[in-house]
Amino acid sequence: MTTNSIDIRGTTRAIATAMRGLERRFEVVADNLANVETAGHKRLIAYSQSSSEESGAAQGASSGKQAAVQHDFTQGDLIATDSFDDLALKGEGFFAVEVEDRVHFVRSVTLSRDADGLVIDSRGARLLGESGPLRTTEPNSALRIERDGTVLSDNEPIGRLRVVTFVDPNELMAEGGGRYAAPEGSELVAATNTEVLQGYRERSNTDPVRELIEMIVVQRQYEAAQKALSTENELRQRLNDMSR
Amino acid sequence: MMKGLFTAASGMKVQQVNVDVIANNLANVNTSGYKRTQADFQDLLYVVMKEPGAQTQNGFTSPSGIQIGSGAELVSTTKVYTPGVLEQTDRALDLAILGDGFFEVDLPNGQKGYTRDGALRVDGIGNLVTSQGFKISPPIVIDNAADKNITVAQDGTVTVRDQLTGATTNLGTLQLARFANAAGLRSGGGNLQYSTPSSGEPTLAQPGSGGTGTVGQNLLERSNVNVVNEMVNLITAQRAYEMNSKAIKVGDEMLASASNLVR
Repeated sequence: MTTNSIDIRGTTRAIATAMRGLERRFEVVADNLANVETAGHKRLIAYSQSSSEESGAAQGASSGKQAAVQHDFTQGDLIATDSFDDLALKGEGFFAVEVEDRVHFVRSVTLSRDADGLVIDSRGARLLGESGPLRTTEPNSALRIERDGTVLSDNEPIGRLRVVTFVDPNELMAEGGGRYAAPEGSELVAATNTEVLQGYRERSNTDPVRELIEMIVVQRQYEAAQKALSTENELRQRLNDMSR
Repeated sequence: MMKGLFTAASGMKVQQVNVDVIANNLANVNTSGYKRTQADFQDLLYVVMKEPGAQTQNGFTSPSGIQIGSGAELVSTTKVYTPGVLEQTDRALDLAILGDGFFEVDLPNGQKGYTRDGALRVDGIGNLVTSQGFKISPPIVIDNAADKNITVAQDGTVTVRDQLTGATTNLGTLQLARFANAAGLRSGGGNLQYSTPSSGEPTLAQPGSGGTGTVGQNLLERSNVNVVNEMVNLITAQRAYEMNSKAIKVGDEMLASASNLVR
């Protein structure tokens, strides 16, 4: 009877791995829904992958499904806000901002100015132009941003916003607060087909309907996995009974 | 598993704040000089389970890693200083700022306040005051206001003509304050804003100069709240709240089904 029980242990593990993967998919849905109103938020996509050798998953389970997670950097809906402080990007790429000498990349900016006249976002990060931080000519001047990213302070051009795209955006690390950090040696390219829109805001690209459906699917699969475990448990019970 | 529940709870919390902000905007839809508030959210820290580009067991590098977010939080509430709707009135002391700037007022505690509410009055001793009775700075005094025709020019010059004698007197000029970062002003209720380190110190200028707007007489600036936009925001906030509560319910049911494994 012991030969069978080895197989059963494998099954148990595979189902447990699947359940863990589903939990992760649920966490992703919960995060996407929590950020459904966060400007510039990029949803996460979790997809199940078989944890066999070719997929390269790190877990040691012999089979069963795991969830891999990555950001979906597709464009979110653009809405006009009437506020000239809101900046959004139409097309691929990110604004570059600087926080304590570290460069971060963001999709959405609410403009502000600090006491020194530097252009900052609502969280205090300095907005970067093609040649460093942008400084307004006069602290109380009005800022206008052209679609090509040229920044005008009281109609005087003071630089052009640095808008970059990545050869492989999946290598970006999400830092929270809508900021992404690029690992060392990542290849960035100046964005060419991206427009900067002033007075617009990019909504999260989460589609609530899709997330709710994903949530139902995850829940039912989780229940199914639980049923499978119970069945397997009963099976083992019977094997044990037979051996008496 | 439990993390997903907290993530969804953070989503409900931000939507609650969102509804608070929208409710305040709607409550002030008829408040002179009120500027709508906008709530801004950000995603919380990500839990990195696997770094992008990490080596996997058999020499491949993982293309994207595993980073799962922890929900959303409120990052700021910003006043949006777009112009409000102008309403024609018959009061000579209803003044609207057409463009950038604030009236500066002297508060009883010696502080300065800033307002765009230009429904001014004359108090018992002739001072030009706001509707709460705070003196406009620099002060302008109109004696025997009942006998006077008051004219406020676009550049803020206040002149009165005596109805009995026909004499015209120049009483001084209104000043407008402008800030480097008006969104950084602190709102104190009573239509007043206060300067903060993030707003910067005000620069005072005569209306129409130094980037300030002009003054319009017999006009009141109503709130810049757009009711339709606020209603749409309210609907999306409510649905987002519901969806996050559903996520908590589903998370709970998944937990229940996991705990059912053990009979």
